[in-house]
Amino acid sequence: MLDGPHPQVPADLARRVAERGGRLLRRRLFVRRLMLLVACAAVVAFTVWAVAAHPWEVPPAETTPLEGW
Amino acid sequence: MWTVRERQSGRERRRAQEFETFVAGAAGRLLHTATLLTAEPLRPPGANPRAQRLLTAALAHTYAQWERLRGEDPYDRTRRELAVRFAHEVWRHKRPRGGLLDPLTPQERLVLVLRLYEGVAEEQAAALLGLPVERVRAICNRSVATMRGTRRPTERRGAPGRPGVAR
Repeated sequence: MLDGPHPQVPADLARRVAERGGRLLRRRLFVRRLMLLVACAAVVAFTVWAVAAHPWEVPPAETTPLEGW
Repeated sequence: MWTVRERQSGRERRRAQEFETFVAGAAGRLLHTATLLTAEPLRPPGANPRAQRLLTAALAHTYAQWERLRGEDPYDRTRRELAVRFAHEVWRHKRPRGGLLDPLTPQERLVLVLRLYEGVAEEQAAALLGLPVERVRAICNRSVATMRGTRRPTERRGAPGRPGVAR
């Protein structure tokens, strides 16, 4: 009952699909590049901050030692 | 020496050609499947806009995935996409539209078409729909009985079907 001739496929289906698929692909590529860019920017920002702030050094003591007690 | 751009455009052209061949071979059957799912009439040619929309979306997805199919059958891939998309928008397909499978609920149609028209194995259909195998078997038997006329169609107003789907 389910079998039988297939319905007629619109002539421009392949073109429409390729257009839409291409758009999907380009959007994905764009998002990937954007993520890569953000990741690179984050690495650069971290490096600059680390070089400037030297976070691995122990900060100098903030209280003066008590003397004369 | 080929530039990156030339190589890219060559790849794009090859993809477009391969894809066109695939669509030329598979679109008729896939549109048939989609039209059975949406329960729209198969004829005349423009009578199944919902099925066409569903198929266009599924094929566009396959197009975008073309390079990453890694030997997977594009037909299989598109059929899966079709089923998943249909299951996600099942609420749009509840109303009868004059198609062959009108007496069935959308979920019954999905199971019946996957199992009997497409010949997908019970386990695969169950995995695709996120249902236990026994439930798929029960829905399939129920749908067949309804279509044979040995069972009253599932009541739809009071208890709408719960189409579960795992992506």
